[in-house]
Amino acid sequence: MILKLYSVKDNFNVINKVLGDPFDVDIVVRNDFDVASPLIVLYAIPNILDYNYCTIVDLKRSYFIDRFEVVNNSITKLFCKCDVLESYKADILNSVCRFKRKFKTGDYYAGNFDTSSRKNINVYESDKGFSGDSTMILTTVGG
Amino acid sequence: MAYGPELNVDEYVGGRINVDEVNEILTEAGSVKYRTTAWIACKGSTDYYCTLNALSHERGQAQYKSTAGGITYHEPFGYPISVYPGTLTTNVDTVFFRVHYSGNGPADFSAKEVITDPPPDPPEEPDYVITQADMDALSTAHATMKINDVVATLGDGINTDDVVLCTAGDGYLFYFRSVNFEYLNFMSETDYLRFTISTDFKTATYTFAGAGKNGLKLDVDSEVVEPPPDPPEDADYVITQVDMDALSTAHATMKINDVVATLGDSINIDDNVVVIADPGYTFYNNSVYFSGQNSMGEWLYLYFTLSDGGSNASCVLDDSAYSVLNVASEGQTQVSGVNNVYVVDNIKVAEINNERMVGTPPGVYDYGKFILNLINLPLEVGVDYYAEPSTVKLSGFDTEVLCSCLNSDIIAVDMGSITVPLIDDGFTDFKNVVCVLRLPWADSVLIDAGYVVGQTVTIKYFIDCYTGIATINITSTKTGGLIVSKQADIGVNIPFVKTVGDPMVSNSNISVGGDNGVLKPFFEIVKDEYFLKDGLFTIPVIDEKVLQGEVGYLEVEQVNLKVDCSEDEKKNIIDVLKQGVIIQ
Repeated sequence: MILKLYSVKDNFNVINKVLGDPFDVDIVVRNDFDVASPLIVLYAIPNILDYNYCTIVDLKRSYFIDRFEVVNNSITKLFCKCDVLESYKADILNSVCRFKRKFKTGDYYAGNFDTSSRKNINVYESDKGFSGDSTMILTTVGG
Repeated sequence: MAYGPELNVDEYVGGRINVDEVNEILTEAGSVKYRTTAWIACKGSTDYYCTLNALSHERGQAQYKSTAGGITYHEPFGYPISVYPGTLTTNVDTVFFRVHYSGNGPADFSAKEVITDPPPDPPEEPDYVITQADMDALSTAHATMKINDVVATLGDGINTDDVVLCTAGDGYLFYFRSVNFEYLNFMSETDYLRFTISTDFKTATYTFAGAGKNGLKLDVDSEVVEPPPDPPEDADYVITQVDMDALSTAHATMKINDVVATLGDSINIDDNVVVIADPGYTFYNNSVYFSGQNSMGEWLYLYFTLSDGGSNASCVLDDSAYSVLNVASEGQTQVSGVNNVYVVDNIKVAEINNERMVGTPPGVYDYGKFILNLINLPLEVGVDYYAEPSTVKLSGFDTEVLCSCLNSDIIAVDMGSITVPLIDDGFTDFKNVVCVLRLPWADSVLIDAGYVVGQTVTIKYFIDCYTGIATINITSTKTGGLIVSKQADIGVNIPFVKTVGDPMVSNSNISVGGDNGVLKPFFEIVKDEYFLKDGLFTIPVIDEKVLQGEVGYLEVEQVNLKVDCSEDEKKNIIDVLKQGVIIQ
């Protein structure tokens, strides 16, 4: 079973995290393996503390590395927690939701924005008007 | 004392002489002292003017006398001796200027001026002087000007009753009201003294009456006349520019076999020709016809047949050789009752004032009581409203003052359209948006953004000539109809009606029009400034659908989660979605 180690900068609540290049480690799953929050013991992985994320393709899951426990110079324990957003993102993105999102063109729902105390004023002028000339009109009772 | 010869200098009549030029004749030298006396006789028609001086002298005199009397005046040298116009009788035809000199050396005499004609009167200031700006205006309009049949040049004067003629250059024509003298009236508004444009639009004439007008200047414009296309070789009649002008002047259009005719179109024998009057105009009997001369020089006419109450005229072209289309129409008056509506200016008003009083005191009858109102509208009335000029009538009394007439007492003025675009194409274009329509000579109007934003708003003024009150109708493409109608008094009433015996002009009918400095209507669209509109965590919009395709931060309120996972993981997913996620 292949464990892929990553260094991820994205926050936990990001879907479609940028993973970068993996460091593959062949691991053996033993008894009492908690799929949701596994404890993984690795031997002699260089710069192991540089990784904070991992995936196990065979388990169809991605994991945050919550914390490390260094047993000795060669052995390190990884306490992992399932990243449900990445592990199930295809299903999540295809689920119907009622949600709040940012404004986009075509949105006519009267939402609330934070406003400043200033106003924007645009001026639109007619294509016709008075020329500035004048006309004197005399009205009389005709004969 | 020996006097020198009298010298008749008739040849200098009208000019000047210099004593130096004839000094050898006039001067005698003594052995020790020099002494000379000279007479200069000058002839002229009326009065004389002379100044004599000696350049170097010890003593002497300059005198003059006339044949009508003895020596009348003298002065020492060095002082001018002058006879100014009017000091001699007009019958005197000769005046003598005598020069005495006595001194130790030769002397030079000179006359500053001997003018045998009276000094010319300073030229009278003309009522108007043609300026470089006027010449430039003429040049720009490709026109020339004559004053009393003399070609006008820079600096030429124009006086009252001079006939001023402007002629458009080849390839150019004037158009209605394109030639004027422009000035500032008593309200400091631009007003015009209109030239009369000839029916062929080639010339414009004006009998000058602009003396004393403030800021008077020439205002002239012309338009290019496109040369007519070459006629088809087999055409029996070709529509010329003259025909098009005649149609335009008569407010009419022409169709040939149901196709609208244009310049250069041909008409052939048996073609059906229809001339259609514009709305508000009708033809009258024999007012539409072709005319031309045959080879014998006889005039031929083909009269159109009127239909539809005179609004249509039709004929079928025959085989005679016609050369011109003649069209005349008359405007249909839409003036209420028996009232009259005239376009006047200050001069016309003054003329009417002179004519309205009939009789001699105390039996003066003032027909001014039949004047309903005199108002100044802040617009140029459209050409379509002008009927044939007529004398101003005050009830049954004809003042014989000729003025332009209007064919309607309601003037519709199209103030144009305003299209307000969508900026965001979203609720930000409407929420808390204030649409202020600024109107010329009227109060502003607040209109709901729904009628304005993303729509075209049209404004029309319907002005009552009797009161100057405008009904302002505002329509929107949102509804396709009227959205606001309001009234505003845009006319400036001029105190005019004053009957004999009134102690003073009453100002009760003066109401100041609301000149707010606005010439064209315009919208001010006032919107909130959403300074975080593009912020990552600013999520004002509620939506309901799958998340696929969404980008950015969002907070899920409810989700119908379809995921094949454990219950704990589902709860975990829902919790995270509610707390907010970023999809990238």
